[in-house]
Amino acid sequence: MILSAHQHKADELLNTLSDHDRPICAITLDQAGRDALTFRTLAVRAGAKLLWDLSRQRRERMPWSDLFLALECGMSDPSSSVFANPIVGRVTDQLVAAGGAAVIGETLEWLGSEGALSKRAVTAEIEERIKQAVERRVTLARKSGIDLLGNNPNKANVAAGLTTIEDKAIGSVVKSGTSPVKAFLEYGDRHDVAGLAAMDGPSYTPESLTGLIAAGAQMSLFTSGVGNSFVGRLAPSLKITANRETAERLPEQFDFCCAEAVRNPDRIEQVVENLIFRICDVASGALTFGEILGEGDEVIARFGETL
Amino acid sequence: MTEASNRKDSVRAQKSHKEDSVAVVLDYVASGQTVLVTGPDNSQELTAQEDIPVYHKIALFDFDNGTTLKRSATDIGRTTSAIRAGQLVHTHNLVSLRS
Repeated sequence: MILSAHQHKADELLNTLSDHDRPICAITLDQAGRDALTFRTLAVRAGAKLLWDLSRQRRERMPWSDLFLALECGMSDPSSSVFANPIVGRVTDQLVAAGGAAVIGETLEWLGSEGALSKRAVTAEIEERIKQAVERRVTLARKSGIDLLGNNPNKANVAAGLTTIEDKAIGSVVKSGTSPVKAFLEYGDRHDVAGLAAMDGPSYTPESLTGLIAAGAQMSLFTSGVGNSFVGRLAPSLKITANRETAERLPEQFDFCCAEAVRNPDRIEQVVENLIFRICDVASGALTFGEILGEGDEVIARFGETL
Repeated sequence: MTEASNRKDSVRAQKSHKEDSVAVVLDYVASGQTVLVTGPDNSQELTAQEDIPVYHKIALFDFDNGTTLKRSATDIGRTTSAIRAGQLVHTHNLVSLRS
């Protein structure tokens, strides 16, 4: 349901979306005579009809390779880079090998690893665009007075064990696994083919997730080390941590804890399999904590680009 | 987790790719402790040549000065001195390839 102040803007969206096989309608302040209460009533009536239709839909069985997963990390700590993100990377590899799709964003997290990431591109053009995307944001940062190549890794990173910028970037990029990068997407572009895509997007999680889900992902795998309550609204975020202390402190935030892999690295294959089962669970209707608690939103930059 | 509380016989380290030069230790390592490195191929054991803080890197082989090291199959930097297997690899002996 599209809610808009202006009929002409709503009509534009209706035209763009009308060839998708989803019920759609638009309610505008224009229709409501600019009255907020009338607007609300119109929207409730239209929403009631939509929900009545939607509730008639039934699930169809599909192979897990039909999934398209968005990959995100936030408030990372060493458990993210050494365990949670590599585990997500293995899941991504298995999904892509089965014929599924995945997308990684947070361009500035590639800084230091853009050489390795770009080498996985299937075409020279994609390779170039990955490098340019990083360069452009580094320049943008410099214009705001931020030197990303200066104090990076910073004191806290170094104290945590990160030695060089290349070393630091591994922890984030490893979420994407090892498969070739099949597509390069501008922020919010659709990804309609199988395989891994790289999207030029901000590191700021709320905007990052919005762009990744806009690509068509049905779910995001969202790792955190110290805890991060944000989730997307348009698609579930499956929250993952490998930090046992965090998982114990935040039992209604994380949907999957892989701390077991930290205690016993021989168990990693089993943990990967368990995560795949959890993903299929959520794709089949199991709720994530973010959905249950009504946490989360979609965020689009309105004051110019976010780094 | 402090060094004093970690008086086990061996400590684990994680190697992620066959061609990696370093492993990440999963606990505080005291000089002289045995480190059990689990990786994608075989496990290997080595002796820590010095104290290594948790989640820091331990050299898996001897390296000459000026060698490019790999972690997670990615070039992570260039050594600035000779390094022996079992030593700590960090900002004092490894710099970015961009420097």
